[in-house]
Amino acid sequence: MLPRYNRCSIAWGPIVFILISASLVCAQEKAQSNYFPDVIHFYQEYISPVDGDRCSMYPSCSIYFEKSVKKHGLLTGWIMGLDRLVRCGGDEVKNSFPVWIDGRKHTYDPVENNDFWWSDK
Amino acid sequence: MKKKLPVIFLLWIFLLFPINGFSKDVVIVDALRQYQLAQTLFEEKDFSAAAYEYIRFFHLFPNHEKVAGAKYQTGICFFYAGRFEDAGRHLEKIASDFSDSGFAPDAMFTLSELYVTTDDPGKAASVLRDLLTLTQNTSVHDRACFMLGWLLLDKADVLKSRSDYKVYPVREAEKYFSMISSEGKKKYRIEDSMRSLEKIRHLKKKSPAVAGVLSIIPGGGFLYCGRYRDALISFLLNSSLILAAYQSFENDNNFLGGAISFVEAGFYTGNIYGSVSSAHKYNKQKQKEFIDNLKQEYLTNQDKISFQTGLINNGVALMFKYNF
Repeated sequence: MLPRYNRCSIAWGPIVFILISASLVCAQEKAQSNYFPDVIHFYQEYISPVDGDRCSMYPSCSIYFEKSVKKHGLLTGWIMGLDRLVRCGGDEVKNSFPVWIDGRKHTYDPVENNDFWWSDK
Repeated sequence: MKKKLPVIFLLWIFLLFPINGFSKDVVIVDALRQYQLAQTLFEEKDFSAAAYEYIRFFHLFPNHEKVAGAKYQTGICFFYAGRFEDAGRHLEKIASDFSDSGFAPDAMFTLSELYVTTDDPGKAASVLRDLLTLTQNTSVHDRACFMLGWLLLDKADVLKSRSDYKVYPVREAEKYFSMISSEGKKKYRIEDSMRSLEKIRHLKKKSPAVAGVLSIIPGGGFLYCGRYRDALISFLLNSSLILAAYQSFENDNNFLGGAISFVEAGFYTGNIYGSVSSAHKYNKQKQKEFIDNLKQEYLTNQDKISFQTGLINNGVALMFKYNF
């Protein structure tokens, strides 16, 4: 039986390896990121209709995720997407502009509103 | 010979009549009438039709003294008709080919407005800067500085975020306001705004670096930026996932622990990213509020100037109106 701290380091090893490899892959060839939106499309096609249209943001979190991955690659897109999940329906509602879609109020929060301070694209 | 006389007479009549008949339909277009037609269409706000009549004018009368004016008006008409590409082409031609005419500065002012309309404030600023280098006229110089200053302030956040704009727009706006001659400053009543603009340096801003450091404790950065709800969600989510990962490892469920840790690593990094981003958004919002207030203050205190575009009786459209 390995000591507890050793087990943790064994688990973190592959994680760090995955993150570093992902960042290298993303930096060298962003075309790789085209595969990730397929996972998001699967969610949009099969899971979201069952779960219901509940996202209060515009674009919705899944579209935001897809756009950020397409724009910045897998690693940064992943981080931005998870950041968006935390902010969804939170304080962004009172800080950003409202938009009305199909009679429902949404909060306008595109990728450009969250990468303007470092991205030129 | 006597028999042939009526035939000759009839032929003569036939030959005459068509000439008389057609002569009524012949229209002789003189330059002034053609120009007036275009002006009338412009005043009736039929901009596309007016543009084509102006084109017809300078095509038929290329040496007329009003050619420069007609070309300028064509650009204006296309601009109002929403055909920005055509408008840009005509206005650029006026600025380059008729630089000595009085229409060149107006064409450049309108061109800058066109670029603002098409969401390209960088190009708009560049056109005004070109005008500043070209003009010797103090009045045009002052107007260009005034417009450039407000443009930079108004679009500061957009310009700052674009790579083609390396200069800090607010500081540059201050520079252009200060370049206005003392007469111009009185005319545009800009001195109060310049004094108020100095306060922009003392705006209370949030440091992105501090937000990033504080987000080591999940939610700390959001809390620093006044986003209390995001802070609470971030703290609960991250701590729950860390706890879940820890428990999984405790129970020898390394695969589950690894999977949770992988997701948690994303949320944790997202929390740092979101905190830094929130600080930037806070600062951007504060600056925008300040500039909006400044603009509002300027416009309400001195409703002499309006930034709206519009038509005036002689058909010349300006970027702004100044009422003495």
